Amino acid sequence: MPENIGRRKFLKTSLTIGGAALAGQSFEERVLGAESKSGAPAGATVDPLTLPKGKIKNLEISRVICGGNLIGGWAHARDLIYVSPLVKAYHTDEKVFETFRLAEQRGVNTVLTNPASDRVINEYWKRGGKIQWISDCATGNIQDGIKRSVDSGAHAVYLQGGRCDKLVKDGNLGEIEKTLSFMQNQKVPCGLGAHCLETVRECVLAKFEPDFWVKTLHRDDYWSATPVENRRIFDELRREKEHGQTHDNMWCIDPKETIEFMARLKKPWIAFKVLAAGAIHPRRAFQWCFENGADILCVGMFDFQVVEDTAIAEAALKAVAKQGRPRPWMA
Amino acid sequence: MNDHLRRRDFLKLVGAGAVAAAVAPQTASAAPPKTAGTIPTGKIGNLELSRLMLGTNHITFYMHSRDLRYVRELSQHYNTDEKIIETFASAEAHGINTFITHSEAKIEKLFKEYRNRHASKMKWILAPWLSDDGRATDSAGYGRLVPKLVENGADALYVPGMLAEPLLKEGKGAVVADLLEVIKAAGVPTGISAHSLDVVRFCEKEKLPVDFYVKTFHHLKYPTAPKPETIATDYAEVPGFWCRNPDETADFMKSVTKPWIAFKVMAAGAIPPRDAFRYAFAHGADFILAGVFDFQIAEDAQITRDTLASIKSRPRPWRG
Repeated sequence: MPENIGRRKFLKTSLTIGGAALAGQSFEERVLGAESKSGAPAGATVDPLTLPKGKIKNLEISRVICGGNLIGGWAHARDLIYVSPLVKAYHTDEKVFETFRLAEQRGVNTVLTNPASDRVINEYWKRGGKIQWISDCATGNIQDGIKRSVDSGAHAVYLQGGRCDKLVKDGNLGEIEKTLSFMQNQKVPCGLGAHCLETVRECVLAKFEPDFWVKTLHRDDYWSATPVENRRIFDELRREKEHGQTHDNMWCIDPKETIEFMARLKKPWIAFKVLAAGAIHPRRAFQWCFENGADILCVGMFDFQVVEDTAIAEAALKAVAKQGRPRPWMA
Repeated sequence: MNDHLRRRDFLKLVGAGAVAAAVAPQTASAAPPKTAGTIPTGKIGNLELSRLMLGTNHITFYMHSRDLRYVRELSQHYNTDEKIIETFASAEAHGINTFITHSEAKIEKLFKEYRNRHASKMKWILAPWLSDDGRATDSAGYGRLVPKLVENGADALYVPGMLAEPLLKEGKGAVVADLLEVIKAAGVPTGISAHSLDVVRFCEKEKLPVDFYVKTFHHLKYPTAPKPETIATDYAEVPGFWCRNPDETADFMKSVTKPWIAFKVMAAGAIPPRDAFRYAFAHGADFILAGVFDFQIAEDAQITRDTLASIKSRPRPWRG
């Protein structure tokens, strides 16, 4: 059972540090000792890096891009209620600029985020930043969100996954078609997003032709994943309080089916929530996602994670380039 | 974002104004933080302590964040030394007059710096654990460490559960008694903490020299809590829980006449404070120890005031 496997691995990682040196310490001491090891701070001098890029229409996009949830403060931290406010408090404008600068220095040339961040992105551009912006357009009325994004300089737009899922769940494919058409009139690349594979299936059946897909992909063997028997279609649209039920903890309930289905689609695939919002280490996520068909990974990265994450991405891409993958690169 | 978070964000903004006013001038003038509110107090020995106390895990970065390992590093980057000092000032300004922590060189230095810089009256309760020469786990180690902590300004000391629990499991209750005696001899209120109710039971049965208990207390009605019937240990990081038997704890504590500081009342961040604080106070806790970031202080202080004002009676009398 994935939950059990994840738990064992987690405990192993947490508690085997130091081995015999920890003998005689209590359980809590060992855990606290493991946690107190300081992470590497963001360095003042960082080696530049060039990451491979893919193309969505004429837009050249690094194969790893910054996610915007950390800037917006949407941490999806399960039932840990303080994490989103902490993320928000951490990300002052200056910290966002610092993060973008570091990302660009490490070969990340695009951020995917909400129009609510247009002010900070525009300010970053005024200061000389070049990062490209893909907008999820999810503020207020969807057409207003698209317009606002394009007017604010978005390089590409898409119908956010949650909204697209909801429209499919409600059987309102007509609204998706209308939105896609409106996006296409904006003359920037336009996509459709989804957490639920059913959403992509329905859009394909309806013969919608976005320029790219933005679909969640992550492994399901982490401790806080919903147990297999409790996973339900459109889970991400609801919150439960019961043990073992969905509670902002899982965004791709069927990775195997997702990989199989996406293998048949010929348009670029930006995979998001690849770390299951922080539960999966990039070392276990990046190569796995690229191997399984994702063309571009959207990854929420704090400034202090950018250097390590981009190094892992570079190594993952080299490994996949060497061994090949079943789904051809579509971007 | 849900309603709860929106509300917290709102209160953060409201509170930030008060804190900025309360904290900023003192940094320059070295005066105590201006009051932005008071919190009802209780007594342990001769110490008058706010019923909401500032915990330490979020500033010593023991986050207990289940499988979200990045949260520790984020806390570390957010809570810079300066931010930690601001947090102390904000807490004191909002009526939280007590800080509880394990002994640890960095945090001791920062708290002393805060006290000096702000002429602070904040009380300090410490669990002797780490000393310059390693872990202090026996009466000899305590004999060296405890006087230093008292000299450094500790107002009360307690034996941490992470020492007491394994000792009791190994049948070394006499060592626990020795540790308590060392603290007692230093002339400060003497406590003991525990995740396991067995520690409290033992101390009560043996009539050990305990002035107060620091015992975990939270319900198990949050999504990542374990199903009660699956619990086999006193506490665990995954699934995160630190009080396996809240009903039994509340029931036993009714018979305990010493003050009770409840900790992990929010199950390390999974239970909203309004729910957590009410549950703890209504079921017998005299004080609550809570890890509170600077941006949560105004709201949590207000929740404490509201909660205490609304509790007219409770099964366990106030013991502190």
